[in-house]
Amino acid sequence: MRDYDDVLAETRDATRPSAEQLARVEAELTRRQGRKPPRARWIAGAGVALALAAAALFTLRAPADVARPLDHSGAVALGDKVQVDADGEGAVVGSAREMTLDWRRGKLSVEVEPKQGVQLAVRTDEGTVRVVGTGFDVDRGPLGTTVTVRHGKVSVDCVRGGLSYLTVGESRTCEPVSAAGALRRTLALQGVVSPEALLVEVNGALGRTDADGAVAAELLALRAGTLLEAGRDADALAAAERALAAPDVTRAEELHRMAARLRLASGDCAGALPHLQALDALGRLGEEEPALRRCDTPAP
Amino acid sequence: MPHPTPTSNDREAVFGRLLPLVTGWCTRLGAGQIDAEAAASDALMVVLRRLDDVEPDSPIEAFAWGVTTRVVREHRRRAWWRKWVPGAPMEHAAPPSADSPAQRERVRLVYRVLDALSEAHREVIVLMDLEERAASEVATILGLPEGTVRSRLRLARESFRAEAGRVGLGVLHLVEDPDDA
Repeated sequence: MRDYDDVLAETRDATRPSAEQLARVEAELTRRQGRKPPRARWIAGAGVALALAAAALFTLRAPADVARPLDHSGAVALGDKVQVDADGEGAVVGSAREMTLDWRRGKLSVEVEPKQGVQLAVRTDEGTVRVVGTGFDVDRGPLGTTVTVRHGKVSVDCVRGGLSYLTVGESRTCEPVSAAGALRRTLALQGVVSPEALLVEVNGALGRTDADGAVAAELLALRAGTLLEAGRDADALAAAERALAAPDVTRAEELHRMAARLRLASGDCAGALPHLQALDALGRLGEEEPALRRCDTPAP
Repeated sequence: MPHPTPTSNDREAVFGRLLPLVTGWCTRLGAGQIDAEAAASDALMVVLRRLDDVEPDSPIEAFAWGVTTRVVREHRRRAWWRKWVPGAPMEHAAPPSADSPAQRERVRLVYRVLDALSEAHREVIVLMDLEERAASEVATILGLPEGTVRSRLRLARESFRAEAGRVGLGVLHLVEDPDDA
């Protein structure tokens, strides 16, 4: 069983005319009348029409163009039914009746007067928030796009995670879409969540199809460090050596030191030797110097 | 006193305002039974041709609504007849543009529910619950007293719920908002 408002909101979204649909209708009209409404007829007889149209449009709150940048603009009215408070970067396009806010980063508070037929969407790379008549906050940061509803109701359609509806006090975070975004999220979560939870994030990011190059290398290094923090030494060693075998190695010193220490801790001097030699080549041997001397000595 | 002659820009403004509005109305009132784009084009043809006839105190939206409902009614009637006439071209009703098959199916069910409602109930649900207009605004468009709009909405929602149950679209909450019902 679904909420009546949810069902109607879903139908509202699915039946909103698309730009392509409008273009087809306009093209059909053009075909039928010869470009645009027939001017001669309009101009000939239309003393009344302009006054009527203008008065009627004014009466019914004709939508003014609200297109403008919102970069750190603070509190701004977008038409007479929408108030936003922008502390970040983005822009709005559309009319006072139907507008889209493309939000790039930072915090955005939106207040929409309910039941006024305003169709408003906030779009980020991670998802789209649509108003069902409400006040809500959008925060786009390293963790993704977080939507919190102050009052009323919104639909949140995450690129990863799909559509859901939020009511008062509820919030939802749309996770980053790209591997690079997922890496930023993971780094932001370091020290905030448990190593196990962080591992889930790292593995998820590594599973993205665009996780390659420096992003993959950084994630692999992060994975090794997190496994070590979780006390899974054998897994950490394997992860560190896998990270070092990757084409774009980052944090090589940290990984070699980790691998050398884990090998030495298990009495594997021969296994530690290549890592110690790599640290030596980097000029970063430091306190591992005695271990290198010991492991590099040929057996009698 | 003569009214000023409309310029091309004014006509463009009226057309730009009405195009999405009328297309949306045809889609929602057609409820998957008619070719909404063809109906929108028919309705806009009439609206633009008869714009001069609009009464000075009558909002253009209300006029466009009246024309659209008549055109949609005609398309629905034509679609119904065509089902029974062998070889007659069917109305091309585009499927709803939902994101997932499950969502598309739910919207189809909403279409079925809307299709089964009386015209008056369908219209008030489209204007108030799908387009989220205020009762006062809907009263202007429909040319009815605000109280009538509110009571009609209440009845329309009840019919919607009953019909939703019949077609298998469970609707749990039907919250009566004191502002609009």
